[in-house]
Amino acid sequence: MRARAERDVVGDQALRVVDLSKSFGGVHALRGVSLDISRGQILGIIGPNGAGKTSLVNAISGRERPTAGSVMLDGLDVTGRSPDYLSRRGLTRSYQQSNIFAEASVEENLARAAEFAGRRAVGVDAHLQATGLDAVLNSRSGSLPYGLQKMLGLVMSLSTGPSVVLMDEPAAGLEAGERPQVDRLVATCAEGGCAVLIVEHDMDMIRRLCPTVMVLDAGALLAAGPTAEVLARPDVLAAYLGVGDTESESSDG
Amino acid sequence: MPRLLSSPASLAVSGRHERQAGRRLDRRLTMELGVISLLVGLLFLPLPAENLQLISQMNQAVMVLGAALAVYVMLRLNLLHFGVPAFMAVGGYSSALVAIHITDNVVALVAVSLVVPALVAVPFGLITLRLRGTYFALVTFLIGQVVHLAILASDRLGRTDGLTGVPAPTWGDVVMGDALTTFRLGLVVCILSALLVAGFMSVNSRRIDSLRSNEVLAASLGLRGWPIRLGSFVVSAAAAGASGFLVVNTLTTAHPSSFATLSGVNYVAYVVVGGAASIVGPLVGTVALVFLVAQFASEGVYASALLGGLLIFTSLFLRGGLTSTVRRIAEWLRDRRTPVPRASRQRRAVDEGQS
Repeated sequence: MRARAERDVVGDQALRVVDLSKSFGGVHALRGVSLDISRGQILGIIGPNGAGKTSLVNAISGRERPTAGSVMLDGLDVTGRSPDYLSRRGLTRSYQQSNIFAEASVEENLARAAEFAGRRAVGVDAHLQATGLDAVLNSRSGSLPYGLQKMLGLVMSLSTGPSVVLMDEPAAGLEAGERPQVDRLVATCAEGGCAVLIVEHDMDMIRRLCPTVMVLDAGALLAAGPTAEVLARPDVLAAYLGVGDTESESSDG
Repeated sequence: MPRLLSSPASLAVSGRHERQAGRRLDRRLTMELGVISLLVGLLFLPLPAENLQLISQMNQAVMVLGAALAVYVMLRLNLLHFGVPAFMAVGGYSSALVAIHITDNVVALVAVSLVVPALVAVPFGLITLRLRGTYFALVTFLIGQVVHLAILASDRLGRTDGLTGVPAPTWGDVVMGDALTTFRLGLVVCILSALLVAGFMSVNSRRIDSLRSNEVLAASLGLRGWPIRLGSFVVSAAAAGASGFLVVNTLTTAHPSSFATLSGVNYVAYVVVGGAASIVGPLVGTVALVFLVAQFASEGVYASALLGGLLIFTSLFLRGGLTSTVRRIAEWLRDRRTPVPRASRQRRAVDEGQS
């Protein structure tokens, strides 16, 4: 009953993160990061290396237990719950590197994803066709080219029918020609009502896919808002591209 | 809320995935049931009762097959289990205590040797299954040492003398004391252990393969790993316990030296040499090594050297053990006779990867 009441309050909100912090000894990987994602929304997370992007994904997805703060999924507090629990509740993630069951066929990988999540999403066939995986269903997944392995990891996470999906650099290691396939997967997922959080370094992809973006720097939120506006801010350019440093170095010289 | 599958097209694809995977499982299960049927057939084979050496060697093989199966169950999860002698001791001693003090009914003794180690495995499993790799191997070795020391410290368990004069099991008026009956009882217990292990592995095959292959991914897709690992540990303990009962039954004594921690290395060797793709591997490895070692019985040092040498040779040159090597050779010979279409080769590569 309590859960239902909370869901009524949150409405379309799929994921709420409040003041999330994560420390490793004296290193503060995350410092009080908060965000909200609604159903069908695509939120981009950008920041320089070491900004805490992957730590954020790990802390939300249960891979790392947050030091402080809370994670609410569909109105339920799921802070620190295990990845398998979160996946069964509808929050799944993909990985920066290709992450598949390398010894199994593509088909078996998909069957495992569906069995473990206890459900299957609509449109798996479309995802398979869009990525070219339908032609290699019987192949050993570990023998596929890297791009297809990466696609398989994405399709597996989407085929579990998630309500929230966290994508950690989905375009990393892909050829330019393969990136539009990721766009289609993400767009299809969001159109189906899934909330998508994308951590990415590819600014073109962020501009294409994400109406809103958050910038992390040194574990803390630096900026958030409409993508075009945020990416034009001087402090973001300075933090992300080191523009300020370059200018000051030039003027010093 | 998560969207559920509703598209007929998706249903068709998912149904196909499950049928394909099901066929692969069926193949493994069929092979395992075939081997278990062979063991059942051996029960009815007329054996030369006068050839005591042969009966003794066969009995030695069935006596430790449960221990090899116990190692195999955990090795399927990439966990090297050196604590098997501890659970053999629990099964052996508990059945001996029941035989001495309560009943010598064979069904009761076998049941005790299966159930008590399985129960003891639960708390041990909750502690040790958090660990992986070398740490798991070390801690299971220590469990063996702890149980061994507990036996040596217990008056009730006879300390260094053990429990002597354990009565032979009975079935109605039949006393199962002679060599041939002891072997046949051992075979029945082995068949029970093999059915237990094959059944558990068959039901959980996909989950076990996934945990072995990529635990992080399996968890992020929703698989709860610890019930599978704990279930495997419990089944492993039950198989080891049944093996312990057979040791005590053969020797009519429950003695600490029968369950020395270092003997765990032998059981690991049986599985590594035989192969860990199915229960056929431990069976082949156990029979092959028990009979080979018996040839060096008078020279204990050579027997140890043989085991160690085979372990090194298999690890270096026969990855996957004897069973996988034989299968690869058979496939190579078949391919030489008839060219195999590319798709079939691909399918076979997938099957090999999964085993």
